[in-house]
Amino acid sequence: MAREAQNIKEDFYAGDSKQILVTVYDQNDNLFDLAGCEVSYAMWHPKTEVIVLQKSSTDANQIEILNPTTNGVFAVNIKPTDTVRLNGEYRQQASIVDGSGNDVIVMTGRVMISKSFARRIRNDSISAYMLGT
Amino acid sequence: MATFTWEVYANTPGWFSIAANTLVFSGSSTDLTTPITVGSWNDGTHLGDGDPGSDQCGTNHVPNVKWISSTQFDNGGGTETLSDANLVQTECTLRVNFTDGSSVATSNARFYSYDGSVTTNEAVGIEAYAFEQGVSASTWTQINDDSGNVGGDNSGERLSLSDQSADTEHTFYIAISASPESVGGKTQFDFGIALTYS
Repeated sequence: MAREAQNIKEDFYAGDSKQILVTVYDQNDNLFDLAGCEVSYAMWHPKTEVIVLQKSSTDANQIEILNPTTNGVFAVNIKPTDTVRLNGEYRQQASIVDGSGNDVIVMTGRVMISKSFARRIRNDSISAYMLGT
Repeated sequence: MATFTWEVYANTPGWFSIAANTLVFSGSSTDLTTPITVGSWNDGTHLGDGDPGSDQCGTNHVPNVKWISSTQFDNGGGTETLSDANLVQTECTLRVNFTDGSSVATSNARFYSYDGSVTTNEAVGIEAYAFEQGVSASTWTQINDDSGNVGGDNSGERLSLSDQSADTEHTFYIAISASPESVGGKTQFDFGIALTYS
């Protein structure tokens, strides 16, 4: 069921709020019913294999299986703090465990995250003093 | 609208805004006019309405945190190892609140000292260290060394603060210790904070 080349090559900037939509198909290329499935997602650095982001559908704020489940679509919710310090090319994968306990990778691909510079900035200051003797 | 509020834990004691007052480092836990010997570190921290002006701390003075070594401090009870357990929130020099009407995440936050005019210029005539409480840090970060040309809002010369997830209010607890590098009043001496939010 793995679909290669689910790549995000542009328009993904560090600190963005983003939703990655994934459609799952069975081995016959039919939409897969995600009812009762647990979905996991990971993003990692391709050379160091350090995982930089992980999400799970056990928390609907992280991964949401969209209704109706028969459409086979889940959404990975990326928050600004998830990627604010990332920059460069990463790999991504998503897997599901269905109601029968079958565990399978359903999506892989590359993700290009670009630095973002145009973010709202705030600064402030206070005065200090000291007397040396 | 996004707003910063700088607070200290003093007076009754309780947290309150420093408003337009000045953060004063002195050689006494009770007298903000007592000077600090060159090369020595603060024995008192206060709020003054000038340089230093009159003490605005109230009943209890601002908590003092004195640099002892890269991993140690003394807040009046003897030398202790820097840690969140040993230096709690109410023992920190400052609490900086960042609020916004919308729930926002903060990133690239940093705390620094500067000359009061150009944020990338170090404060004049002082050496200073800072520590963020609540993030499992264990060492001081040098934020100013005028003789070594260290300080200002420059990478590697400031305290990087924790990224914080979406909320309408963000809080940073910071301890500061300072030492004069020369005789005289240090007036080109401010603290700054900056961050991005989304």
